[in-house]
Amino acid sequence: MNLAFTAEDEAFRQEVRGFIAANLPPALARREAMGFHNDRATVTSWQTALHRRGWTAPGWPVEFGGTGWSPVQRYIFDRECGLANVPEICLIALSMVGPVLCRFGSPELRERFLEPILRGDYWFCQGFSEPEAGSDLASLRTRAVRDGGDWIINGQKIWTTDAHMADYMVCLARTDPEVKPQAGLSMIIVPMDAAGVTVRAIETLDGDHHVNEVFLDNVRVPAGNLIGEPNSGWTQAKFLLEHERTHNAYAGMLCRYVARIPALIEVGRANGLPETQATEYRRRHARLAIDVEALEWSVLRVLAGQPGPALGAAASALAVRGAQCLLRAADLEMAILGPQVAPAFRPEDGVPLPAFAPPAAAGRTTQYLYWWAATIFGGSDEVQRTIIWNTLYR
Amino acid sequence: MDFTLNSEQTMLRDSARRYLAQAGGASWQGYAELGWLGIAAPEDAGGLGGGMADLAILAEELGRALAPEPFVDGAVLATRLVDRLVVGHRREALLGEMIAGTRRLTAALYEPGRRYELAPQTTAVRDGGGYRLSGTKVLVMDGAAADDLLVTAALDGGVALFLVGREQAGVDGRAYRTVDRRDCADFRLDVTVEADRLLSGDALDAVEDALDEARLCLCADMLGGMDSAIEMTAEYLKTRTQFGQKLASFQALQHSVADLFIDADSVRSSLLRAIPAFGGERAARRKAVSACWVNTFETAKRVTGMAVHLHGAIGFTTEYRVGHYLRRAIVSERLFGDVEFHLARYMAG
Ligand SMILES: Cc1cc2nc3c(=O)[nH]c(=O)nc-3n(C[C@H](O)[C@H](O)[C@H](O)COP(=O)(O)OP(=O)(O)OC[C@H]3O[C@@H](n4cnc5c(N)ncnc54)[C@H](O)[C@@H]3O)c2cc1C
Repeated sequence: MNLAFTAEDEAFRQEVRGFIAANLPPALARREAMGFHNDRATVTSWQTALHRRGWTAPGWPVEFGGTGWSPVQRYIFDRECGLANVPEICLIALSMVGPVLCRFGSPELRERFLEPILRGDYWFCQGFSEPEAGSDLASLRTRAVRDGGDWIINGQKIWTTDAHMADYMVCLARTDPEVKPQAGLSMIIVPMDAAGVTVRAIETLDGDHHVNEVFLDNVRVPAGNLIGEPNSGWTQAKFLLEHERTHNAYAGMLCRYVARIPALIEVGRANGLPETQATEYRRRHARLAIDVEALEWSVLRVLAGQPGPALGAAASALAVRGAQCLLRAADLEMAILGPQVAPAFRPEDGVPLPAFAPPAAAGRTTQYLYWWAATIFGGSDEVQRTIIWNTLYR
Repeated sequence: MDFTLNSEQTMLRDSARRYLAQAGGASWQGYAELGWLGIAAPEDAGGLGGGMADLAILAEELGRALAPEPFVDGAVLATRLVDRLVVGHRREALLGEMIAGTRRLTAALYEPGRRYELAPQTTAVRDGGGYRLSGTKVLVMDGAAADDLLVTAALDGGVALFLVGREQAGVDGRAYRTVDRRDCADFRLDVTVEADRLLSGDALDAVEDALDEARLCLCADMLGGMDSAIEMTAEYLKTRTQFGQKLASFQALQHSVADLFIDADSVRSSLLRAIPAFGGERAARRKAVSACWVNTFETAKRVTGMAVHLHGAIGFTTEYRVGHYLRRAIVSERLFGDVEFHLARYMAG
């Protein structure tokens, strides 16, 4: 066992820091620090810089454009990005669809999609959930029926993040209704501008727009858009959801919170926060920092670990713990800022914050509310607990 | 001891619940017609002379209904301040208009960078026959719609309270909405008012007392919200099917809902414990109110957030009702002091 970072790891950390400092637009970092959802336009220049450096897709196999980093290097990269307010860019294309295509896609599909995804030319959304199929994903009803050289798709997707700005959807659809639910699903790439695709925005509690309903009405796509073999969609979907199994720990984001909260407490002190109260917040911060440090090491253990049931359970544990820590961190920031977080604020509103709210107040409630969603998406806390029981103790 | 509501209180609760379910609770005039704006006003001024229990019963229903009108700010805080500090004929006239809903008042107490400090930096200086007020007030609920502001200002080493017309020159307001979409405003004041606009030169105790009544109402409002969020969640789990069965059939979820009840039920006890303290001495009352505040708002986000969580993604939409309780919790929690403020006040008491 050697649990320390090596000199090479430290050199890599400096390299990443230098790259971020040279390439991340300050306006983007500011917006990201507030915690508002980004759109394509705001992240383009950053994605281009990453692409030039060959760092867009650390999780892909090297032959398709991955970085070939060790697990520790990947972790260092994510942590530095978190600390420096680097936004996530098209997570679904880069962290989900890309790896699925690398693993299961035909040479034609790889040829068509991988390079444009790396460049940032193609954004994807993930069309899995449906109104009646959430935690019970396998019960989904969207149907794809073969018609000559095409698939014809009918159904409805919901909670589709970024559907309003995506070029394509990976759609999980039922291609064989006769077999048991998991066995009759396929993953099909659907162009969002195809006839019969309608997107309707859903406004969420955080006041942001990320999720949508997507209606699929006799949408016709070429047969070659089906990834891999027909009816192997469940295996692919599981691969997709488990590929970035440490993502839902949000370790980089949590390091960001831990790093910036002490200064926020001092801002509070200058704005009427009594010392006794500040002391309590410093205590809460320390307690959070301890849990986040442990979470970071959990992430490293999962990244470096041997695949197996224990690893699955550990990944589920850190998804649940990650969401808990995010809520604690965001709640602490709101508490420190106190009454200053009460005004509703959106960067697009064009109005400044009310006179009395410091810039640090912008987005604090938006982010807090969003972290409640982190207890739901990517497999809810209950689903994760069931995985832990089933993999370790059943 | 008797925990049952009397017949008037039962009627108040039932009629409020009915009315708010139908009308949605966004009509100040409607509140006036139902007599709600007079509950906190004494009978000698045309009010109903209601007690803390009556106010809490109504506030709980308003919270349950997510009513957007500033009942706590106008019909409790401002009304109690006017009742306590305005004298003579003017008191009856003002209260009469407030009860009728034709004149809206709200208190402008808090200042930028001062959190919940009530000793103001806004100053009042004698100016001709009147006073010149200078300073900034923030988070004035209903500030954009109110006719008059009850403004605290430092005068001769004490805390004075002034009645200031909102549209008067020198009252520079900026309206905005809170996270839960309630109307609010900040004010920059550089205004001269007539001498008779000074309501009291020593208002601090009256402000604290009126605030305590408002605080307990806000706790009751949140309790109504928590109760409703829990009920909605239980109902939703009984209708939603996943894995071929109702979600309510999963014991993990039954227990989660039961946990929410355990938390909210404790808040109800804190509230009921604080109500009789309004008949007693000030120190004990302050302590009981702060205790209730801490219990309520340390609990509220978890209960309403879990209600969202247990609904799944639908709970995270603005179209659906349950998440609005979470938004309201975030704002109410910090309107008249936050959890740490009240914990300190409890410990000091
Ligand atoms: C912000 C956001 C973004 C999203 N983005 C996407 C996206 O891009 N693409 C996509 O396909 N989906 C997306 N989703 C949907 C997400 O995957 C689902 O919300 C999730 O799978 C839960 O499903 P549900 O919302 O239908 O809740 P339900 O499955 O109805 O669950 C409701 C509650 O019951 C609990 N529960 C369910 N089953 C059990 C059980 N057996 N035992 C105990 N408890 C149980 C759940 O944990 C939850 O608390 C997104 C959701 C959110 C909130």
